[in-house]
Amino acid sequence: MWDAFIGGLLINLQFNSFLYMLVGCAIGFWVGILPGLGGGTTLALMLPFIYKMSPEEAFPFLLGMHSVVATTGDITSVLFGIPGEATTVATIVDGYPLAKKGEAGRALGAVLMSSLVGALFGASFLAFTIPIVRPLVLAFGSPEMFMLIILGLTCISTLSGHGKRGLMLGLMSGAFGFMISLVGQDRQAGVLRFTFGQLYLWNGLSIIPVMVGLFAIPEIVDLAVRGTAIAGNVQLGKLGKGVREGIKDTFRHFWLTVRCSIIGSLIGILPGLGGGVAQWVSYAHATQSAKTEEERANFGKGDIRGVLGPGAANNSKEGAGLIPTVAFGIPAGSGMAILMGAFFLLGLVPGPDMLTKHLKLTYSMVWTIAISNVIIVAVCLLFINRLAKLTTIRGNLMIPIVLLLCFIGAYTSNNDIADLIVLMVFGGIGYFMVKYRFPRPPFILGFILGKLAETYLYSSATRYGAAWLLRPKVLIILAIAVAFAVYPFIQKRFRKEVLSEPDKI
Amino acid sequence: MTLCFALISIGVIVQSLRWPFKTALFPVIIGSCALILSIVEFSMSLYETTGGRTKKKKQDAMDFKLSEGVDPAVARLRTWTAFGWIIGFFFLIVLFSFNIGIPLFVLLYLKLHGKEKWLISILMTVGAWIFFWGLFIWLLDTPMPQGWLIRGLHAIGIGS
Amino acid sequence: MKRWGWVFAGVLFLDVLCFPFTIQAAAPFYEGKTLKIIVGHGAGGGYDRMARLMAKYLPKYIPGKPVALVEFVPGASGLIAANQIYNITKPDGLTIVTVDRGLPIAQLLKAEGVRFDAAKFSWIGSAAVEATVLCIRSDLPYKTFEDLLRAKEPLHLGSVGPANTSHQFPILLKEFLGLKINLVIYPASAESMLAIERKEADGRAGSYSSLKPFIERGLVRPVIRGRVVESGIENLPVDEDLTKDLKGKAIMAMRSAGDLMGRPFVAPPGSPPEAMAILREAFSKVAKDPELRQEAEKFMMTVEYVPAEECLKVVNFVLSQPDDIAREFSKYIKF
Repeated sequence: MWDAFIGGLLINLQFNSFLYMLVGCAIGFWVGILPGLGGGTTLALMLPFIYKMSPEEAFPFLLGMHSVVATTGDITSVLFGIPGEATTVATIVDGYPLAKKGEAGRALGAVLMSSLVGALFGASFLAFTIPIVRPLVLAFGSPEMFMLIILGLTCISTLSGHGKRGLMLGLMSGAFGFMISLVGQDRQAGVLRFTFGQLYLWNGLSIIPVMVGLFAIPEIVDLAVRGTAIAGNVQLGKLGKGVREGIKDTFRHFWLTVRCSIIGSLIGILPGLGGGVAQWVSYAHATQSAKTEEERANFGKGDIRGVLGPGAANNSKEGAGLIPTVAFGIPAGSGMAILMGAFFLLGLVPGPDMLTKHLKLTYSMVWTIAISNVIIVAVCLLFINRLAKLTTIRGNLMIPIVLLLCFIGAYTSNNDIADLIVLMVFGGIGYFMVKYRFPRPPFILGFILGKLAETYLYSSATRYGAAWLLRPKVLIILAIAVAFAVYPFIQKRFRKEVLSEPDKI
Repeated sequence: MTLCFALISIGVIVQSLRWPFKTALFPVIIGSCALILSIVEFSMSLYETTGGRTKKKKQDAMDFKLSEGVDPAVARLRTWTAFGWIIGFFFLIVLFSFNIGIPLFVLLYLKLHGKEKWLISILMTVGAWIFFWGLFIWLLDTPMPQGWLIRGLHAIGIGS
Repeated sequence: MKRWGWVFAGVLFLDVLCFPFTIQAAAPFYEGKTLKIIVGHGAGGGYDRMARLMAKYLPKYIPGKPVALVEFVPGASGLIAANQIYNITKPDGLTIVTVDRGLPIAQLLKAEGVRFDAAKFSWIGSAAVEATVLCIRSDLPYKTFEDLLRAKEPLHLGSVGPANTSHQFPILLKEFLGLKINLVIYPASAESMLAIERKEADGRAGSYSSLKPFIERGLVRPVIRGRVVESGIENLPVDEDLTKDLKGKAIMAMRSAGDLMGRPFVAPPGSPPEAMAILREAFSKVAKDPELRQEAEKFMMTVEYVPAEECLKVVNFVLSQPDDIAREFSKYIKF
């Protein structure tokens, strides 16, 4: 195994491969930054270019692009409050408020560093689990997947804002997202649900226009209302210095970053759950690291931990996502599905062969993720000051550009004008949600997980009858989910108890 | 808002009852939960505003909040304007296709709304157009639908 | 003198008549143009791969060597693309679509949103034949279909939903051959293959080409196929042959009909005949291209041109079914 490990590195250091990786990184840099234009779509667009390449050149190219997208997507999320990628939405929640406070530099430093940590973690995770990958992935059957989805959904309670009222609003938000995810052709009976006769809605709503509309449009409107630059009326001087602060923050909360990377990798390894979920679960986990209720209240207003968590998770899931794709030929997400198309184009068959005959190639993928992220983060840190300065440009100049990017991004996901209508409708919904204090993260969680939960519930029930509830792993995950859900309340009770014993020091 | 939500939930449940069991199960369950929650929430807010026991703690959502620093009347005007521009952009694209709609929008917004100087407006318009055309059309060859006006013109016989 | 004048005028007249034809022979129809190949499904699937393969090799066989590009218009299992090319796209021979092979079935079942008549498309043909097989896990003790019929436990088969072959083929087997199955629905075929690896599912029905990698790997083995045959599975029993129920035979035949036009390519109705002729010829020649065959083999795809007439026969066969058969059909098959 070790010689494959080193062999992989050597592949990447070959001139051609390295060059292609750099090109891939450059492309990925821009793809991540542009909202809506996703890693998946771009992978599909890049496929024709790899016809003439050998595998050693093609994979650094494709992966160099794809693994960097999550890092630079965070940048857009922080600076503009607009998701650069579907996987970087959670970074908006705390990153953008930081930018508004004039601390864009700090947020960027934190997000870049945590992305790097996450990426490196994900890459090592991939590297070291290769031997045990098969039993690991095979251990999760439909019932376990369903439970994991429930676990993801319980994060809704943590993301809901505090107090019973907040929880209710959060649950309603989640329920709404869930209902929206059910639009489309039902998997069980082929019945068309809520499609109102529109062919466009047959496969349900695409996540990109929904997400960009929900999160980006209200921010744009608010920017127009405020009439100022994103960073409000803060002096220029503070921005640049913040970067070092942000980097230090990553290491100040190092264990949190690592824990969130672990979460990202564990979720990334499971086909279907993917990046959408990983970022929110790790965000929820980050909020749990708040020790008091007041501290938790700060999340959403610019707590740096809310940036570190998702920043790490959406990168660590990249490395992990390769595992089922490469080892089983089962794509872990839509981007991976397209990557598999690349496999075929190059004459390779994903599956056990990749772990034996082509082990070196697989390890070179690990190295690609690691090296490309190091390079990109280094490059970004160099330019961070310029990037942060963007937040001081007059709102009026930013708005058309940002709006432009949103529209294009929403359109290119399906090449359908109807996506733009979805964008605007959800922009309106997002605006009202924010106005009436309905939290949006639970909505997105419900939206991503809803239909998936339904499918896995039925597959578990059909396959195992009622017995699936009693499987050991299912019960364990259920216990974790319950713990997750009640954690905020237990914490409150616990604090009260401690506070009521003032003589204890 | 909550009322809206309750109504939607009712709609969902009613429609779902017509479907076979498996298809209907999730919509009905989630719809019912949503309905119950929204009724509770609605009554709570009614209770609050009609002078019941006022809760001191402001329940904040763990999410972005609309900025408070601006005078509400101005804010409302600006909000409507912003939405107006967004919808306008959409129609520009539909009518003229992305190719023309984008630079048109940038120019109009910067001049009319932003009251920016001509130089900046033109520079940004050109920049935006080059970016869009260069990346999406020249490099990536993304299919763009023709605007309705253009299609109309073609139908009459003007243009290729 | 006058006579010579008339002859001269006549010759001149004939010359003028021939002129446009000579011009056409000089400049091929597709010279300097772009051929757009639209895929009615998302990127990464079988339709995508076939379209890309065609885009790469077709220009060699089209005089004028146009540039061929692939575009995606996913949604509603190819219906959106089909509607678009039927109603909106200009019939100038420059745009073709690869549609879902279940297209005539969607029309027959009067699926919501069908705004085309499959028979009126300008048919180019199909680039491949896609046979349907049912595969079961290799480590199961059943070796033949008869063994399966005798099984005491129901077979857990993974499917993707009732609108998909993975669901339709086994349902017919259950209904008309008495196979005991339990259909478990997964989000995508990839997950159902994973379930097979996990031993949660016992098998899956699907197109032979999509199952081939797993068959070669030894994970599953095919046990029964539909009427349409591909090399490698000729010896498998055919579902239609095994049932004695006439209605069943008819319905299975209808389901299988689409397999013959596994990767159909069409152009908008009313496309110019010269363009259609060029395209059909190109498709037929490209299927024999040695480089293409080599590449196709790498992807485990088989390319085999099915002429437009054959495809139209299939379409008409499906569309001409009497109402009561169509009603029976719709009990099991959904689009």
